[in-house]
Amino acid sequence: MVSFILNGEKVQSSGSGQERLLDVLRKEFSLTGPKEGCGEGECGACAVLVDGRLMNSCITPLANVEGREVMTIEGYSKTERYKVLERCFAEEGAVQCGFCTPGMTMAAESLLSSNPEPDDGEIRLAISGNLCRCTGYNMIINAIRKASKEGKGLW
Amino acid sequence: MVRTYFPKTLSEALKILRDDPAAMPVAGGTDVMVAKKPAEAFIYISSVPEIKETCMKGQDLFIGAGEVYRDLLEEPDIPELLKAAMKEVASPAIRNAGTLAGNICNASPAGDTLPPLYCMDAEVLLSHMEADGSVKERRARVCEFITGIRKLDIRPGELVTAVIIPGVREIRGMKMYYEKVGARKSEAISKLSFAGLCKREEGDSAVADIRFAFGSVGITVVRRPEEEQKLKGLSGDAYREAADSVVKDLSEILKPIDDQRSTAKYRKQVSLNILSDFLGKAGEGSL
Ligand SMILES: Cc1cc2nc3c(=O)[nH]c(=O)nc-3n(C[C@H](O)[C@H](O)[C@H](O)COP(=O)(O)OP(=O)(O)OC[C@H]3O[C@@H](n4cnc5c(N)ncnc54)[C@H](O)[C@@H]3O)c2cc1C
Ligand code: FES
Ligand code: FES
Repeated sequence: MVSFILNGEKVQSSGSGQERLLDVLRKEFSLTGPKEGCGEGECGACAVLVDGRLMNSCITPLANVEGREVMTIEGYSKTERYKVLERCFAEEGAVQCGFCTPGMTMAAESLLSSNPEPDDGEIRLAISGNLCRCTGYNMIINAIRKASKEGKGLW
Repeated sequence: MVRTYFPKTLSEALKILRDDPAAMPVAGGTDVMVAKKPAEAFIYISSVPEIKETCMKGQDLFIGAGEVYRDLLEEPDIPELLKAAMKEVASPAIRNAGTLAGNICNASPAGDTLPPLYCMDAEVLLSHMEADGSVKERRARVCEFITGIRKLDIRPGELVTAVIIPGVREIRGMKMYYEKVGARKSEAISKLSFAGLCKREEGDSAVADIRFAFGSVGITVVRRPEEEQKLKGLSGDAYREAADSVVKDLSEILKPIDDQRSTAKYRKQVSLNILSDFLGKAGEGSL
């Protein structure tokens, strides 16, 4: 049994410690926002926030979130910050197939929450662990830059 | 059934390891989870507070074995050479989970923090609990602790509790050089890497201390103090001559291999080019 806070609610998982957080989120809690791309920590499609920090849930053992706060895109989508990012991603064409988008969004939140006015280099660094096969990245960088301007005060 | 443990204190962790020495420590899990390392038991150490602190003890810096890269990068006492390597490990998400001790204990020839640690004569602090409950510690040099690919000189029941940089102030006073060559900027396991340190006395053009180490060109990191020795106390033409001969010696010593990331030929040539660049800059005082 592992207990943690999931999108603001106290939960208990019946999973064992060595289970992948990604599997627990998707199978036990039916949260399918986090995606499995590589399953090896390289693509960021499975990214979630743990105590506010970006983590790849495919290589996070469930044991390592005991007592911590996990936020997936489902929980994040209820926030004002998300709404700004969603609009900017849409307006800038930063979403095509959408597979990378939940992870990209969590990476953007992780960046903006610690650095509300990043320069382009900092944006690139922040999403450097998130792969996108569709957009060529520039649209995503534009979207995050725009969100940082238009969401001023939110982060 | 795989046994799993979640200790909340260091003494609890050491007691578990004493009673169940087959338990494999898991810190960030960024190597364990990818390699899907099989074990009868796992002990998750990321909630043990005593191994998450970095502090000075006398002249030595003790870096907490459980502290993640992201936090280590904020520690003011950690030398820039080590930070340069940590900044290039993987990606932000991995740096939020991975640890320095995990990088050492994974004992990969491509571990990016290892060349800096070898240059700094870093050690690990190993702790274990005796039958009577007392805790014993020993220090081991990283270059002796790692004995081969994925091989460590670690005894049953032992846990790495800190990584030690002896005489850290001295190290921080040296000029540093770091180069990682990978397929892309982020999230690339090194094709090769190189770390160097150099010190010249105030107002003296001679090299007082010089150290360098190579990653991914052998079974473990390659550092040759006897080659470094040949350069000490020299300047000008004598230094340049010695430097040429050191590069020549290293071309015999480095024995890289072909693998999916690179070829032996590329690794060797680029490593030697980087060494020449480092030795040149160290000699000119332009590091
Ligand atoms: C996508 C990806 C990219 C990566 N890129 C890089 C890179 O660029 N450079 C690089 O060097 N590495 C890279 N790595 C490897 C890895 O992230 C690092 O080696 C990291 O430092 C491991 O730390 P950890 O805490 O996650 O180790 P874990 O996976 O928890 O443990 C690794 C090993 O060390 C042992 N161990 C851990 N802590 C202790 C302890 N305190 N005492 C005794 N044994 C212990 C474990 O039993 C295990 O055998 C990458 C990994 C991934 C998934
Ligand atoms: S699925 Fe987790 S990083 Fe790719
Ligand atoms: S939009 Fe398709 S992977 Fe990014």
